[in-house]
Amino acid sequence: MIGGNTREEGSAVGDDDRTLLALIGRGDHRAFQTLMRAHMPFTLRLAYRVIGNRDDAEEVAQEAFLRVWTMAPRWRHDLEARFTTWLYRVVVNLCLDRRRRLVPLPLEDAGDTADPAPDSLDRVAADETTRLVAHALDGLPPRQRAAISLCYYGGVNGPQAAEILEVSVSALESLLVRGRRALRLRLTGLGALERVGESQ
Amino acid sequence: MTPEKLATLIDGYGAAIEREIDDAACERLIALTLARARALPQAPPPLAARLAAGLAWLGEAAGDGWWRYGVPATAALALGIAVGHATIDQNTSAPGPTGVDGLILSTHSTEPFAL
Repeated sequence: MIGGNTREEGSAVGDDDRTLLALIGRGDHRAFQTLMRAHMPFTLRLAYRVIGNRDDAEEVAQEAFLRVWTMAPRWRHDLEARFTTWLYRVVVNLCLDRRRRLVPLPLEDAGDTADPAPDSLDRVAADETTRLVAHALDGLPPRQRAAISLCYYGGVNGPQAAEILEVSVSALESLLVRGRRALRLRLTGLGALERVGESQ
Repeated sequence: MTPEKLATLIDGYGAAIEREIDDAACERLIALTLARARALPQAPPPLAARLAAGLAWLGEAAGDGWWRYGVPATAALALGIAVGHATIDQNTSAPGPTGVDGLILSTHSTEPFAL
């Protein structure tokens, strides 16, 4: 399973981001691969949640890691900056830039979420609910959507999310409150509330 | 809608994305990104780091036998590292020009610098 603790075979166990960045800054492709293996899953999922489109999310994740590659020699090792905060900030900003250029699709055109599992009535109902949530999220102001995407799925705490979005913690809380309120209204309008009630 | 129901809906959306973005998807993207990175030059390090690298390399040069090419040539190479026109290839430990494909020298090269 790829995840936060996965390290490439042959690399020293316990290599942290700072050590890997130093190696990457000297052109070490293996260290770059190791760093991507550690952070790609969350990065890609974050991009997907913020931008709502898999192809664009993959482009954003690639672009973010290519910036890591090119900028690694200039990483300030003397600072206490956290690598993931910088990376996720790049991801969120790239997503927001792309979203500004996107034209929203009508609900009928929103694609289904790909799922290799066998179909069943429950599965179809769950997929339909997911599609409604995706559409509701799509209608939120970009920064509210980014705040929800950062804070609802673990991996990032409140102060770090605020740092990523370059706002104060109280401003982040305000974004979340407004985002949840808008999302609730949109979901109620789309009938998602009833679907949750049905599945429970 | 209660906060719990809202959280359930948001969690369900996140779970659907987690199912879609699986290990195979990540590995494929890592391979693509790595291939693109191989063709992408890195930004030169800050001056202080380049100076430190140049001086460090100069210090190690004697032990590696680079001095046999002469003090001026070795010093010039160290200076090249310091100002960012040369870099040390991590795969060979030998210096070569920055960002020029195919000109990174091996440790067994008889021509140690191509500035």
